[in-house]
Amino acid sequence: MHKKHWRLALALGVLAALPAAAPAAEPNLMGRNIGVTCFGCHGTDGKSQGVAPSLHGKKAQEIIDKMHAFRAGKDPEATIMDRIARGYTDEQIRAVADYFANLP
Amino acid sequence: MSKTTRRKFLGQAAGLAAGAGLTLAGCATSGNKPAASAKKARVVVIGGGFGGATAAKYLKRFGPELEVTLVEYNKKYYTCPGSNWVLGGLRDLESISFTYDGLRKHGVKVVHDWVTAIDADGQNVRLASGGQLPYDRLVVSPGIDFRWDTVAGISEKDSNTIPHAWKAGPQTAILRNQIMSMRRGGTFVIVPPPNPFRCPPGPYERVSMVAHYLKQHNPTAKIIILDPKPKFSKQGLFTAGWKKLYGFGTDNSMIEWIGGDDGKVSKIDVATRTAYHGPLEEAVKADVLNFVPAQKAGRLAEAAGLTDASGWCPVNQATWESTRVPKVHVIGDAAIQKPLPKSGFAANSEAKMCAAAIVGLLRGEDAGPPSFINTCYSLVAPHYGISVAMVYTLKDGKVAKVKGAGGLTPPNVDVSQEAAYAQSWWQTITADVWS
Repeated sequence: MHKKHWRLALALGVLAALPAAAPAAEPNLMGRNIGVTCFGCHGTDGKSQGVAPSLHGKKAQEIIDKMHAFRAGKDPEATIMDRIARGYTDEQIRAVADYFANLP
Repeated sequence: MSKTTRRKFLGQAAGLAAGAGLTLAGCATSGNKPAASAKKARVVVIGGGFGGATAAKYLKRFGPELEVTLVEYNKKYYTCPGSNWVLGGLRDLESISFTYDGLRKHGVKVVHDWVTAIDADGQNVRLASGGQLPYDRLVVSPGIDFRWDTVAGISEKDSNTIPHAWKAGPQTAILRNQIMSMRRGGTFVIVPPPNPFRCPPGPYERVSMVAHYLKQHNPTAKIIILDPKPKFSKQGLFTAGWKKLYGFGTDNSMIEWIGGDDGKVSKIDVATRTAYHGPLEEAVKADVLNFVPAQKAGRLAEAAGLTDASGWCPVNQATWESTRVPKVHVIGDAAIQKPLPKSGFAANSEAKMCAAAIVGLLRGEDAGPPSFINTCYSLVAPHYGISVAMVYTLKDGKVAKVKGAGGLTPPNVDVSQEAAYAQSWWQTITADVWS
């Protein structure tokens, strides 16, 4: 009984902490809009189904460093990513890296 | 041809039916007012290919509160990407098919039915079963249809003996069987369509895959390409591969390409499988003839008043909303997507940006800056792959290539690695669309 009240209080507390009627908007829309287009080769949520590397679970800095190396033509592993990395600004690379790093 | 047959053909080939009947196109502008209750907003998606299936899945992802219904006649979808690999004997036809169970798991309601009409004023989709699907926003992704009237002597009914195989499935099986049973030393003639058409490198990957098959099983056979275009997608990469593997450019070449005015086919004699090409109407008799007609937007788009004089659908590329019919969005091959190509990858990108825009419009929220990629791999042989890629942004309301980005497989890249990535690409994007 005691325990149940505690749980209810907790639940109410959590609810109260949410802003009223806020739609569940995905933050970082720039990162999201770029990130979902990466899914075509790197898989939904960055989980690849083939030899293309998965991006899911990668740290943001790791993605940023790799993208900068691709863009500069300095990554010896590049087959197509150098051509693609040249399409993004520093700000876009940071946004998409943050998007992948924060996917559940 | 009776209406029933026409409908049946449409259903088998495109997975869509468009009634000639009622289509009520409204005015050309559309309010961006949020729906009275975003929680109950209904979005209907017509067409379950790369564009439509992606749109349905990502509408639920970006807007879980939406009621999303996908209408697709066929219970099974065969992907055009990978269908040339079936012709080359690299995989079997069933391995490139998908059902819609994956989308159901994401909360998409899937209806296997014909669309008989889009009532744009009433915001309602009418189904052959008698059902109706009211919508707040409609996404139309009907793919392509053929212009049978551009070459004399051949019509839609001939496609069982002279397959186009430009919509994967039964057509792919017909062409595969014809190639396999072709006489020793026979001639395979392919007639690629004029621009714009679905999958620009597709005809040349097809030639590569047929050459790969014939080299093993019918090595004295020939391939002739009668092409109305003076140049084609990834031409340098394809011809380099053909030189290396199929003797292209030598007296002993398996493949001959006749392009431009000389390659333009004006007439086909169906009974003898003869194509007449060039200003002198020279005759080429084929053992297997693969005529891929000129193209336009899927028939439903035309019936719904979404097309312009070009036969394709003009859209606002920021939201993919039709400029002709409000609250109706058109994506994929049917849309005027330029500079994006008519490819499955582009349709997947567009579908995601369209889904984001629709959720934004319905909620009255910002959808963020749109971004697009096209990545396209082709196989010249099982372990010989080539690619082209581009990144796109939105500039002054229109899709624009990002300067300095993209391009073709560079000379230093290992083509066997490209081939491995081609397989990975197919495996991964199809899971993104249908799983």
